[in-house]
Amino acid sequence: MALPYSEWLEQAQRLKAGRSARVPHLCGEGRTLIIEHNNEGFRSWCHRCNEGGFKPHGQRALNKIIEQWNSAAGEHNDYNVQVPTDLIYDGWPWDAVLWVSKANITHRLIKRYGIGYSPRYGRVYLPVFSHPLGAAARSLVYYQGRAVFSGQTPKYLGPSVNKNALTYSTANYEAECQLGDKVAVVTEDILSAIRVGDIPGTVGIAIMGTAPSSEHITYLSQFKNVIIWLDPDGAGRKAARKLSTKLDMIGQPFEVIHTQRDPKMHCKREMKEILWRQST
Amino acid sequence: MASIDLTTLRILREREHYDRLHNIVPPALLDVVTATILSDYGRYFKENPGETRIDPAAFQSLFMGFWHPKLSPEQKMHYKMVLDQALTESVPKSISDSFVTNVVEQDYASRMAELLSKYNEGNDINITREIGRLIESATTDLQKKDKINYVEDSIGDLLMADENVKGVRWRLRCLQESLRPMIAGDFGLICGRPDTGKTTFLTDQLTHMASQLKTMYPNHPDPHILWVNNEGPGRRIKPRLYQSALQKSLAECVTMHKAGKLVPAYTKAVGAIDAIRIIDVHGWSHYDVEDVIKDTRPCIVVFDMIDNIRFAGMASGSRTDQALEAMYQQAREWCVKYNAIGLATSQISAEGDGMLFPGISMLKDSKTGKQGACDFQIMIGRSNDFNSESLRGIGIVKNKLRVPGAPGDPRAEVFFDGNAARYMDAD
Repeated sequence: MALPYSEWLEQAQRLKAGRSARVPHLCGEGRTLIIEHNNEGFRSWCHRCNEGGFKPHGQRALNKIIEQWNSAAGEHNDYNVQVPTDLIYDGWPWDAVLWVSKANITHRLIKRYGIGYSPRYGRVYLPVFSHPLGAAARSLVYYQGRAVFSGQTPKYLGPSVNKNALTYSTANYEAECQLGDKVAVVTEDILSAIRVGDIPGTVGIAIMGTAPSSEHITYLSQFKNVIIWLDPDGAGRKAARKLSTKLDMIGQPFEVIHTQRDPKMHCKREMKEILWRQST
Repeated sequence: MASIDLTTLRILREREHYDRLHNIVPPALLDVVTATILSDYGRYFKENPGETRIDPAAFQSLFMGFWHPKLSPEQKMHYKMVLDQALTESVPKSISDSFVTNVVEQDYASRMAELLSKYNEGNDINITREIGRLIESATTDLQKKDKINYVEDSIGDLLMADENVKGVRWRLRCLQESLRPMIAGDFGLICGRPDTGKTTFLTDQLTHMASQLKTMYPNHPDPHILWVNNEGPGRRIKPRLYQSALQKSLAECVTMHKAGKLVPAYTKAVGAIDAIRIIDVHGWSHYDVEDVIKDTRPCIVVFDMIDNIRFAGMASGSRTDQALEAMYQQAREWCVKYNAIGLATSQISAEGDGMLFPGISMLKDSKTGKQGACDFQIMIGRSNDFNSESLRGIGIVKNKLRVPGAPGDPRAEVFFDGNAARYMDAD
């Protein structure tokens, strides 16, 4: 049996000619649905359902193909990045509360950074807004849907975007923020960024992993000082070395903090002490 | 102090420095941005042969406009900031003078960090040994930089040395004729199918070699042969040594022992009662084996068999042939490092079964790796013909110790006397 058009065609039509993508399917978790836009038409195949579909689009003029190529501005806009519509900010199940509490994320921070729980997916969603160079306003560019129940896979769900270009910054959640007066504290994950960004005078920035990119460096160059505080594992230390080299190469002042635990695992008092010690 | 990346970009923007130094900086040491810019330095100098140094404005214009037009605005800004730093400021002479030393130091610092990280992740590494090895290697590299030791021996001396080479000789005449006497650093393979008589071949040849050690190594405090064994129990080898040395059957050895003549006869035949020392290394790692070689300083080391030594720190997932090649290379390095002759046994694969003269590639788990790591490779072949049970083929399928004027591979048929643990030339 073929997959109904309603489940995949609209997304496939947004692809540029010759492109394919792996996207979520309503049959369950994970990106199990392959959609493709090729010479003959639009195709789909779900690896979980073992079913697919095809919609021919016939011969198309070259100018139409070029027009369609030019209409899609970039990878981020290939899909509408949208968090689930059923997000709730109160009355979470115990496992969800426990997960954010482990990182000392209070109810105030949950509201401020738009962290929500989706009963439909059973996940906590962390929205990522960005304010790229030259853009007029911030926009939602990514989200992380974190599994909170035991046995739930995958651990994280997120839209298919170029993650290298993503920078999570707590400054994007403030009405007005003069970056040049602030100290940027760089962390690996969003929760750590939220926690360090709660210390006065700092902006928490998550590089969403351990691969610092040009986008991160350009953003960090706007601050008066940068403190690198990544996780204490091997990957974190390696990334800290990479990041410090990159910052040194552009003449950006920076310092590196190594602690025994992830930044988010420290209480606010400890965080202040660590950051204060660093800045003196 | 600026990072090695920035220093590299600042120093190498002079053509003279670029030409001389750009190949000595390990690419793994550099950030991808630095590597990209450095590669474009080369392009700039190639396309502008008259320029002696990078012109900042021209380079930036070429870089952004022609060589990398598809960079995103963020990437453009990132590169611009780096280029501003690299092309506008100069490096003090003291830093420029010590650039090569700094690169070597940074390279080793990075290797050390990698090593510690692997160790902390729980990899099977003897950390003190590996740190020692890195330091030794760093010291050598830094000395190399300070003083280049060219081979300055006169050609006459070298030719005479080659002609009159004095070394340890084989008992079998067919080997004597095709292989020059062995000297420290030589490393060879002795290969045979299971139950062909590899161990007997070794006891036969080694007892002959042992008798030459005192003459060959007059200044050695304790000339001896070390037999590193991880095949069957070492106890089984010893009687065979006595048989080979005296060319006697086991029953004759027992009779001699009862008469109290065995040990004196053996001592006389091989030069000293402990001229050949067997050590069981079952389950040992390569660090332990190296320690023994380092401590005892033998004249000849026999590895029976390298394939069974546990090589700690080998990347999991390495292919067997790659792992074996690395292991045999390591054994060869030990021989060079500790001034010993190395002999290693290896098994011939099933494709060489029943062949009197198997080919070079017919080794177990290795078609090229083990072969590449040795100076010579002796193949002991045997026919499956029932009437040729005592016949063996001796081939030297790889021979870097060739005797001028003699065939490199003798392809000789020899007689195997299992009773007296000896191989004998056919004529």
